[in-house]
Amino acid sequence: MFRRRSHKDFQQEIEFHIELEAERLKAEGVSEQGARAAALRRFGNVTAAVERYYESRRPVFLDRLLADGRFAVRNMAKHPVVSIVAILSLAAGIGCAAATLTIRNAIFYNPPPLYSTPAELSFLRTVSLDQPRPQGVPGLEIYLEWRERPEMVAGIAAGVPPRVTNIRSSDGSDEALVGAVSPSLFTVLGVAPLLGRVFSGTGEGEAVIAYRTWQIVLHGRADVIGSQVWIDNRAFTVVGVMPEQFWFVRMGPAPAVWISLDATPIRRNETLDVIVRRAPGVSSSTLEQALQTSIDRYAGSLPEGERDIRGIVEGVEGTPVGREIAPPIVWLFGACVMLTLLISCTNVAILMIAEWTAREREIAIRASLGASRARVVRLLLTESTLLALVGAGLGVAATFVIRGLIFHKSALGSRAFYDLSIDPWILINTALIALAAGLLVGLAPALYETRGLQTNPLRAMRSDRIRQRWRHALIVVEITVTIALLVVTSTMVDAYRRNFSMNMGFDVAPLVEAQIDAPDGNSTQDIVDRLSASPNVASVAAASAVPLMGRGELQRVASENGGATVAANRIFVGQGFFSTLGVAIQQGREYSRVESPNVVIVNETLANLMWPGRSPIGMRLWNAGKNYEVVGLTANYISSMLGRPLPSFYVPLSATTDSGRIVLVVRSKGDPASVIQTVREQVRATSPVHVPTTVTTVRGILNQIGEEIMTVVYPMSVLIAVGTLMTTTGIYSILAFAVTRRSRELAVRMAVGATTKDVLRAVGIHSARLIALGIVCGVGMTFGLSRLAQGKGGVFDSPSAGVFVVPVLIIVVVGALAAWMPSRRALAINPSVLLRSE
Amino acid sequence: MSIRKRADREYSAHLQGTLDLLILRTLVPGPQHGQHIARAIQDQSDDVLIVDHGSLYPALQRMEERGFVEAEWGISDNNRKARFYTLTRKGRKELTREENEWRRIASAIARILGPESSKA
Repeated sequence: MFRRRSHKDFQQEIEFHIELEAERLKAEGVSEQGARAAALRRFGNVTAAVERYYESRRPVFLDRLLADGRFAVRNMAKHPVVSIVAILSLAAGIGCAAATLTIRNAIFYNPPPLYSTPAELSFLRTVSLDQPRPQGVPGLEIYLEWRERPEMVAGIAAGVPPRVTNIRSSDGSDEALVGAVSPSLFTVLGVAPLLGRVFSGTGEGEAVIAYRTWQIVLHGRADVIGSQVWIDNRAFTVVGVMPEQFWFVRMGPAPAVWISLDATPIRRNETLDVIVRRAPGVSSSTLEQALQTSIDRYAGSLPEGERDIRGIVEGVEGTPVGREIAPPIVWLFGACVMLTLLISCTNVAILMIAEWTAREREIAIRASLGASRARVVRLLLTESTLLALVGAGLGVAATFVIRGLIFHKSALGSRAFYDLSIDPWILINTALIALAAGLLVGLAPALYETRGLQTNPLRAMRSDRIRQRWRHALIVVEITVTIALLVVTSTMVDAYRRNFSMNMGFDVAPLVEAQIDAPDGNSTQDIVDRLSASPNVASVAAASAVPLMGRGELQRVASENGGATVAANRIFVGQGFFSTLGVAIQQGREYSRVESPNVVIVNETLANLMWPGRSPIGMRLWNAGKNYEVVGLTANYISSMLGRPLPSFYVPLSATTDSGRIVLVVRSKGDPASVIQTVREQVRATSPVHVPTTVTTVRGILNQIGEEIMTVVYPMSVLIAVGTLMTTTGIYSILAFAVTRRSRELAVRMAVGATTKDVLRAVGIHSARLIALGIVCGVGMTFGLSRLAQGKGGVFDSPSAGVFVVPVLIIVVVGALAAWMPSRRALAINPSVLLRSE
Repeated sequence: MSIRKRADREYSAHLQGTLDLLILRTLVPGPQHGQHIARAIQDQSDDVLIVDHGSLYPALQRMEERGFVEAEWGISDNNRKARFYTLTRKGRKELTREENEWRRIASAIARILGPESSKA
């Protein structure tokens, strides 16, 4: 194998050659000194030979690259602050971007972990006029029909939306999320149990439990398989435990249990989550067409006005939280990531320009000594590339740190379900973008700095005007982007936080809500009466929907028959509903125990829409060809997470109302948690048969949803923090640099008689103008962004003037400091010293 | 390589390829060190061809890398350390090829120049 010959070895050989030659000459009679001199002469230029050898051995560009690299490192060490800020900017930008994208993917785009070949799986869903968000498939028939279509689906399974209910084992009892699913579900998903087996046959009396259920309810017992659990007082045998990361449809913090759908009585029109594994060659759109046909057939049996149902086929990607949160966030996530990267690249550009401007003399000298323009550009580019490389490397490390931080901060109950391992592609892409940006921001100033270098190197040191324009443009860009990022993200985080701990229009603390699947409607009043009599219950009311539980129906209403209609939410409410909830009746009255079916209560929003500026009491409200008399006006309240008050009207709940399912709101005396058990007991007491019941405190629901949502929104706060930090450093450094550049000018001004005040004013006005321009652009961009986000169905309000206060204040303070500090320093120097130093 | 009286760059460029040929030919009798090679070329050409020692070593190096010669440190006749170059099989082949080429070109040039009688 050919080994590389060392440079030294070559030199040695030449040395020996010269000695041999000198000896030969000596032997011919030449004197000692003469011989050596002649030998050397004869050899010619030794250095040239060695260099020729050296250059023949390696590509010159590599050599120069190494030299440039060494020089760049030395230079970075010479300007440590600039380099560190630039590197950290890049690293933070990359870290934030990659970590945020990872979380975004985990929440919105990745399929649930463990599912085998998830691309083949599809959910069958529907949307309708009053349910614009995709729901499951209504009606058992459609599911049963699709079970018999092997040409379309290779496997199909369904689940009833799971309910929170009581689960008891010999070790204790707890609340669990119980879902009835087809016995084939686990096979269709291709997920094997961790312990035991999945359902066999119809799965009668069998339960498959989640890993958490095993750990929490059954205390991780080794002999869990075969043990008994009681769900709503029915006994089940645990046959299998699913792996920790497994989830289906819901991934809430409550431990999950699956029982067999085939062995559970369900209502005919129950909404089912249907998942299918598509047969080979069947595309989603083919499936969707076939689904629409079945749905049309089913819809034909529904009352007029409810038939407009559309079938859609969705992939299994994303999480329930992701679905809840809706698309604009995904879009905003991306926008914020881009803004953060933009800020970090702008920072690097600013610092590079600043540093090179300070080195124009060095560049001029290099050019005078014969460096070509390309050579100088390459030198400068090597520096920015090196910077970008180090930044990217650190950025990769930062990604892990930031992810850890977000992970740690979000008290996420269901974090086991997320696959938050960092996708190498995201990392590579972000790092590449930052690297490319680093090069790009290096290239433009490098080309500019070396313009006209060849014609006259020293003339390249000329007026700063164009550089100044660049700097100014960068300051404005940076301020604009910062304000947009800060305001948009904080508005959004704030909107979610408000929803989380929001004023819903009533005090949530004492409230407990229950959803009861009553097989016969007569028991409603019975349950209400029994509960009212309980000592720890202050009041109780029934309704078709209560805040956070159940939904009203969207209806068209008009103020006169056949008049222009308004979409409004219809909710059936029982006696004392508003007082139990704690929502004020502003005019008129609430319903009494026995109520005429022809009266209605409206909320403020609807009243303002229908009768603006007038009292609605005594007015007529038309709905579905029937007219109601308005007897009450109630304050608005918020009934769904992330929602806003909808125009609503409340009609009396009566025994004749179809009440396959009723919801109760209970106001407790003292601890609401104690009421949960009371509700369970009373429900059980009213009915001889099993009544599936979900009972929970309103605070509990809010906490759970809020926690999940904050998980998604949390990364935004990190973006905000890092963005602010980067941007303030950036703005400070560039403004300070601009002022420092003017030291000489300031000195001249002072020398010809300007006062300190004059100078400070001149500098101040200049900086203020830039900052003001940046702020104006930033505010404009923010409104543009929020308009865009709203256009895509965002949940947040237009930014109010208040949210601009903090970002604007930060920028003004940083700007003022950046203008003031260097000018003070410049003014402290004697003008003559400063002028002489040039 | 340079040529006495005409150390003209242009001229030596014409003869660039011949240095390799001469070195290879010099190595046929056995391993030699650089100084000996330079000397041998000069002596055998009756001092017409004087090898520029500065070019010799890069040329040797190049040939070593191409596998025409092998090198090894050893001791010269007068007890000096020197790097000895040996012709390889590949080098021999190259020598034959270059020799043929050279002869072909030389005879072609000779045909054009005609019998040796006109001006020097």
